[in-house]
Parts: sequence; structure tokens; C-alpha cells
Amino acid sequence: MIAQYGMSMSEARARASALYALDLDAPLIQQYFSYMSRMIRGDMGQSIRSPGVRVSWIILARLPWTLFTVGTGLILSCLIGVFLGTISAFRRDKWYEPIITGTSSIISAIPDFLIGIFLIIIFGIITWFGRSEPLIPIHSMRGTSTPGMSWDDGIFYLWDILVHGFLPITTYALAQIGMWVLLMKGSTTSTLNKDYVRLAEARGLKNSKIMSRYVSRNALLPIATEFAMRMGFILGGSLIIEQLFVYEGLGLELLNAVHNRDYPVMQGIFLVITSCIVFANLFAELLYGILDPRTRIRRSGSNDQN
Amino acid sequence: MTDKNSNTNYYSRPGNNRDPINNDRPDTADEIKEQTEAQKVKSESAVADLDGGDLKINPKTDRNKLMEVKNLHIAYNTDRGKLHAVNGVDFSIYNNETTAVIGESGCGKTTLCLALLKLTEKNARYLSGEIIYQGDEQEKNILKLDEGELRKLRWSDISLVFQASQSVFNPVIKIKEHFIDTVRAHQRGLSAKKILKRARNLLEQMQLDADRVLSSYAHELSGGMKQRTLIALSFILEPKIVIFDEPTTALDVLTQRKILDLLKTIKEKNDFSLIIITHDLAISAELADNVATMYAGKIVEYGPVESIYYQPRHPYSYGLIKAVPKIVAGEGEEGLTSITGKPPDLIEIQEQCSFAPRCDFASSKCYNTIPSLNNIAEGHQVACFNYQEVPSIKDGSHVQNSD
Repeated sequence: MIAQYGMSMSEARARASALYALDLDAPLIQQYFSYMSRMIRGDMGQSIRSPGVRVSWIILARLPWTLFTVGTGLILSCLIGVFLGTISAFRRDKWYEPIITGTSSIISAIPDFLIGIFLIIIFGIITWFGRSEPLIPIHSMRGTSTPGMSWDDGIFYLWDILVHGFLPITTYALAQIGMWVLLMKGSTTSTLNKDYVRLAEARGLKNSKIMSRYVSRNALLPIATEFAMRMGFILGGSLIIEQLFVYEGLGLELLNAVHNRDYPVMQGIFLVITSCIVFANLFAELLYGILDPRTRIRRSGSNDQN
Repeated sequence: MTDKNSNTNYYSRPGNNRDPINNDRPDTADEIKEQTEAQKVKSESAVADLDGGDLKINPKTDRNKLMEVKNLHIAYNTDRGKLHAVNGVDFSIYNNETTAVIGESGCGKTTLCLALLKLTEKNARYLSGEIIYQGDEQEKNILKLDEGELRKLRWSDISLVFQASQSVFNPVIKIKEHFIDTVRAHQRGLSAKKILKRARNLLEQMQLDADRVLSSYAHELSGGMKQRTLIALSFILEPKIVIFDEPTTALDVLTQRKILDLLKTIKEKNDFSLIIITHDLAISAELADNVATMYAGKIVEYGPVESIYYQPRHPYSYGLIKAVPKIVAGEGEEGLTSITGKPPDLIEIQEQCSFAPRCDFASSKCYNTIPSLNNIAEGHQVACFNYQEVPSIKDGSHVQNSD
């Protein structure tokens, strides 16, 4: 702050203590505990850049937008990816299988910001088929919705949100879809070779039953874990994409905070991201326990009869 | 194999399904020997006995052919070329009889049995031959059935206990779901209660705690329990033919013993034909009525278990029996003899007896002609030119060690 704003040491000190509501003369351990106790009560301090604005307000205002776009992108890519991956594993002799696998490998190798730029060019800059304007008026697409609109506008507002979120969501979905296809294909292919699938065939079960109950059910186990883990990275992954589309989510806020050295805001957002990852991991563990009986602890003691 | 039909007809006695000898199988080696002798005499004078053959002496009174494999050739497409895993196999499965298929690893036993259900891997090609199955209705060629007909045939007519019984249950669903899935795939609309009642009955026959097994996941059962559960599952639709692919390979001897005993009891109580693939000669000696020795994709000897184990006619069968170790070797006995050399490459098939390079009895004829399977005695066929030179097994303990 001293270097940035040319303040004197004492001025900076006064300001800092006001912002954090800290007693800078107190021993470090005491400062730490007072910070923690406020944190537990949900008080993350105030922004340096806009004094008087609570960090928790900023996060609460931005968080839903990021959750909406990244979450939708994740769910969409996972659903489509699992579907395509299953198909390409079951139909390894069909002509479209190499196309699905090849495209997936290529797409999964492209960084997400490049996909975002391509999408802007395709939808927002090129004018297709002699139209006078590009498909999406990219200049009015800044932000999460058109200024002035609110929930009072009902369905129009919802539509507005969807249009504004379209490009970021598509970017997130495309950036991950290749990974899901390849993961699901590998998982399904290895499950298809399992003895229990062959026995199911020998037992004369219908193909559809074998696919759903014996193959996909088992092939989805690693996918479910991966999905739960990915949920943790939802918030962290949005930095560049939100900057690209000027989408006012948590990632853009974090980037701005870094530029402005707005430490309380940065600290708050990092805390949210970190806890998100921790809880996602915990969720993944619990989910696996539900899906795979082998990881459950036996409740009743069973004695071998051999 | 060619004149099997005529033999069958000579001795057919409608209405007598169980063969009398089977029920009180001889216990000692001498008894068996006597019987084999008697049988040999019998078969030599087959024509004379046409009018008044004594049923007690002739065990094969009513052999209804249930399945017939004719000149079957199966090859796998591999990087090196076509691998002829099954190379001209002819054999028949009879009602209510147990057939053991023996031979060393990689001789085509498993491929042959998978083919009976048309369950072979995707790279397997059926070059020629047919598998005629005589079900309730018309006889049908299994290799010509479409997917839907095959699906109906599998498990309800022919069930297969896999070699890898430790991983044949879907790990994420309970054992009872396996029973329900199986029955519902063939008999729609049957209530779960009825299915489970049948399953419980079978599991109890296998001496398992039925309720606990049914509500368990596969990983909660021990190896022997899984094996017995799979055997119970294989009987749920009361199939006509049950195939056991090395049923006890992965198990310890005590569990093997138990499963063999259970199999014997279940065989006595129910009518079905059993095919056992094994390289454990003791198991086949104990359970089988007939033995088929396979070598390099061919059946080289087929006959009643007693004849094959005491008077093998193919040098390879002889070698297999001599290679079984005894727990206690008696004084002055010959040691363990192995068969030297290794099985031939199944990719390059040569115009010779495939066993000739490893054979002690090979003559020059063996190196330029492929021997065909010929009848040498009643129900005993061998593919060897010098079968008369093969000595008989003097000591019965080779095949008795599991009793």
C-alpha cells in the first residue's frame, strides 16, 4: 500500500487496522485468533478497494454466477461425454467410433481459453451466410445479464441470463467433454472384458440389461468419483474464462482483487475455493461408499463357511 | 465316431434312462479291470448278444444323443495368422452322462466348450462344422442360430460354470439379483419370491446358508462359497447340459473335495448331462462316464472312463496318466514320467500326427499322415496308428488318489 498509493507508513497502518479491524500491536497469535473468530462468524473483513463493502457480500453476489456457468458446463459435458464414451466403447467396429475418439483427443488437448477465443470468433465476429451481423451481439454480452433487468422481468430475465451465460457455459463444456469421453470409453472397454459380463452373456441376459446393469453401472464408478472431485475445481477454473467473456463471477472478482492487491477479497475467495475442494473430496469419498459396496464396512460379521 | 449311431441303436432300451452300473460304481481297481474286460468281451460279441443281452453287464443301454459336434474347426485371428484352436473335433454328448475333456493347457478345451454356447471371443472364426443340439423341439445347429435364439438357449438349455468363478459376479449388485436376472431373462413375469425360493433350495443343496448368500455381495463370499453359488446358479433353469470349465482349479484340496462330493450328490438327484473340462485326472476319474482326451485342437481318444484309465490307447492319454504324481511312491515303482517336448504351434498345421514329435511309439507313417478317430472297441475311439503298442496302466493308484 505504501508503494502503491504513496501513503506514509502510519497512514497505511491506520487504514489496515481499520479494514481488518485488527490490533496490529497485539501478538501474532492473538491477531490470528481474533481473525479466526470473526471468520467463524462469517465476517471476512472489508474490501480495500471499495471501503465499507464487506468481502462476504462480494462473494455472495458473485458466487451464484460462477456456480451457474461452471456447474452447468460440468454437468453438460459429463452427460454428453459419458453418453458418447459409452457408445464408442460398445460400437468399436462402427465408422463413427474413430471420429468420436479422435475428436475427443483433439478437443481435450486444447486449452479452455483458446476454445473461448474460437467461440468468440465463430459466434461474435464472423458474419455467416451473408447476414449483416454475427450470431451473437458480443458487445452487449458483457456481464451476467443486461443492466437494468431483474427477476421482476420474469421469463425474459431468465432468457437473458441464459444468453449471457451461453458462451462461458459452452466453453466449459467443450473444454472438458473430451476428457469425459475418453475416461468413459476406457472405463467401459475394460468393464466389457470382465468375467461377470461374459457370464451375464452366458446366462442369456438381454443385451440392454447387460449394458445397463452389468457394464455401465460398473463403468460409471470412476466417472462418479472424477465428477465429485471436479466439482471442487469449479470455482478455481473460472479465472481466465470469466476474464475473457467479462462475466462477473468469482473468477473475475479474484483477478481484479489480485490486480488491485485487495487482500481481504483475495483471502476470502481463496478460502471459498479451498473449502470447496475439501468438501468435494469428502463428497467423492462418501459417494463411492454408496455406489460401490466393496468399499463399505461390513456391519454384521460374516463367517466363512469353508 | 462314425458308427456310433449304429451302436446306439443296437442297445437302445426305451424307458431305461439310468444305467445300472453307474449307480453302484466299482470301488476297487480290480473290479473296474474285471468290468472293462467284460465290456471288451461284450463288444466283441455285440452281434451275438442282440437278442438277449444282459443289462447288468452292458452299461450303455440307452444312450440318447443330446448334442453332436461334427467336424468343428475354430480359428482365432491373431497377429501371427490363424490359430487353429479347435481343429476337426467330432464328439457327442449323451443324456445323463458325464463327459470329461482332459488335456494340457492351450489344447483347445475351453474354446470347444465356449463354442457349444457360441460364446467364443470376437476374433474366433468358425471355419466349418456344426453343433447339433437335440432339445425338446427340432434339432438345431447352434452355430446357425441368431442372437435371439442363442440368448434363449443359453443357460436354460446349456449352462456354463466359468473357469474364473471368482470374478463372475457383478460386484455392485447382490447375489440374489443374479438369480432374479437370470430367471427373468428366460421366464418373464415370475415373482421374485418364487425365484428366490428355487434359489434357496439349490443353495441349500450346495450346503450354503442360503439367506445369507442371497443378501450378500460377491466380495463378501469366500472362494469356495462363490464357486458353490455359481454351481447353484447354473442349475436354476434346470438345463439339459451343464458345462464345468475347470471347476476346482483355483481352490484348495479340501474345498475341491467338498465341491466334488456335492456335485456327485446333485448328479444323482437330477437328470442332466455334465461336461467337465479339467486337467485334473483324479476329478475326471471320479465323476466322468466318458473321457475325451484333447491334443492340439483335436480329440485324440474318446471312451469310457474305465477303459481309458486302465487301458489308454493313445500315447498321449498314456503320458497324461503316467504324469500324475502319487503322494506316496511305493518301492520299486517307476518315478514320475513327464511327456517330453511341448505342444505344437497351432498356427502352422502340418500333414502329420500332431503328437508324433513327442511320441515314443511314432513310426514313419505318423510323420506323413494325419490319423483319424477310429473305433477300436465299443464306444472307444482313438486317433493313433500304433495304438496296440500302448501299454496298459498296471497300477490303479494313479487315478485313485482322490478317493
